Amino acid sequence: MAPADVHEKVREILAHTRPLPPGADSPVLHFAATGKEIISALAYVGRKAVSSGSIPAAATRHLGRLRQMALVSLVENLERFIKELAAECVDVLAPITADDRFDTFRMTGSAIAGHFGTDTLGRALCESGVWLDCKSINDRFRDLLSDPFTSTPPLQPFHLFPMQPQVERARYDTLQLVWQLRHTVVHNVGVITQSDAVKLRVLSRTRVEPLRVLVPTDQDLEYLLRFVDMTATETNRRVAERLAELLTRIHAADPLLIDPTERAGHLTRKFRVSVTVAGVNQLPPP
Amino acid sequence: MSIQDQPHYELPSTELAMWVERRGPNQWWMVDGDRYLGGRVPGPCRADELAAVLRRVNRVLLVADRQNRPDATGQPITADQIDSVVYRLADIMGLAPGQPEPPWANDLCLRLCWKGEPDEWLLMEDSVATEAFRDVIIEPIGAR
Repeated sequence: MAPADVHEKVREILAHTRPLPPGADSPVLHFAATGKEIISALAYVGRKAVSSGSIPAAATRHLGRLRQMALVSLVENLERFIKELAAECVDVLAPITADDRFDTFRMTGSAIAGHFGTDTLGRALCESGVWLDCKSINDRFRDLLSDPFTSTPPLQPFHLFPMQPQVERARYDTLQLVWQLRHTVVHNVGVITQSDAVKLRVLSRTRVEPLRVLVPTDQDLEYLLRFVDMTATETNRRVAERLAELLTRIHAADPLLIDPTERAGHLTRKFRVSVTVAGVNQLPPP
Repeated sequence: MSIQDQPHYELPSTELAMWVERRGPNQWWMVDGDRYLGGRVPGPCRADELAAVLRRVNRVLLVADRQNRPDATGQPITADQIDSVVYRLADIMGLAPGQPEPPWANDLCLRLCWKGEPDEWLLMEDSVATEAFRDVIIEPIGAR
């Protein structure tokens, strides 16, 4: 018998893939369906563990670990959604703007190579970065969706996660906590370190005991999923409306630059909300 | 074996919406395995969120007959008849002999597919979410 080639076996992981599912080209559909898959998978295993008569202590322990993983997946699903939103913005605006809005994105050599021959400038700019804190996300979207004109009354700067009014501030604060919860599970396998405890205490304004393991419950994940669902739906709508507003302004300055009917249709297909571009309103397809 | 090859009925999504609403406004639901609906409703979702999307999509579903009636060959049914085809979740998951029934055992579950598509998926009551959100107000999330 030959010794196992573990290096080769690790590389073989890359051969085990499946196609992207239908709807994956719309960030919000992709997000919603993936979130559901994560929770359904966990629920299925949980029910099977109960119905098959497994050892309760073992089942509890294993399900606890799976819920940690589900927590991370739910948060990273939101991160991917935000990146895909940004990529859509890049793809819509890059062909029709010539300012410094994309300066905030660093493009690696490999990303440049990957972009040639495809129409994936947005993904090339947005995929590889880390989008896990509200300030940097806000800064990127503020630049990305900035008003290209200075002579007309300018649009207000765009904040993906505003800090006003109070309802938006609450979302901002909870999202900061969510990013930190993910950090705790990903980087410390669920152990709340001393430094994690300090950050979590500040973010949550509750007492957090260090050197304990985070063990989210099913109900915790229900609420987390509801929160990220609400956040994604709201941010999706706001980005779509902002893009429509920018396209309307650009069209007003140069009517030949874009076709409002085509662009409105594109936005409704991608963002699944009703938009109006230069007076042309479109509803999303069913 | 796909639903088309088993005893089944045709069910307009608008009739399913009506049945979902009859189960009560505080009942929460989970779509398990359908990318179309899965992308359009939150997960889990409130009865009104699910019903709104089912009405908007306005398509025909095939629903597997729990009773396996041989004459169930795709006849249309309405909301009034769904109770005769619905499963208990414990029946879908299978309980080992001697196992006590878990809290979700009586969650109702439909085996469904969209007419013309082969992939089966489940629509089930979600008692975990129903309990989690029992005594709180949860705002509906806009339809996608």
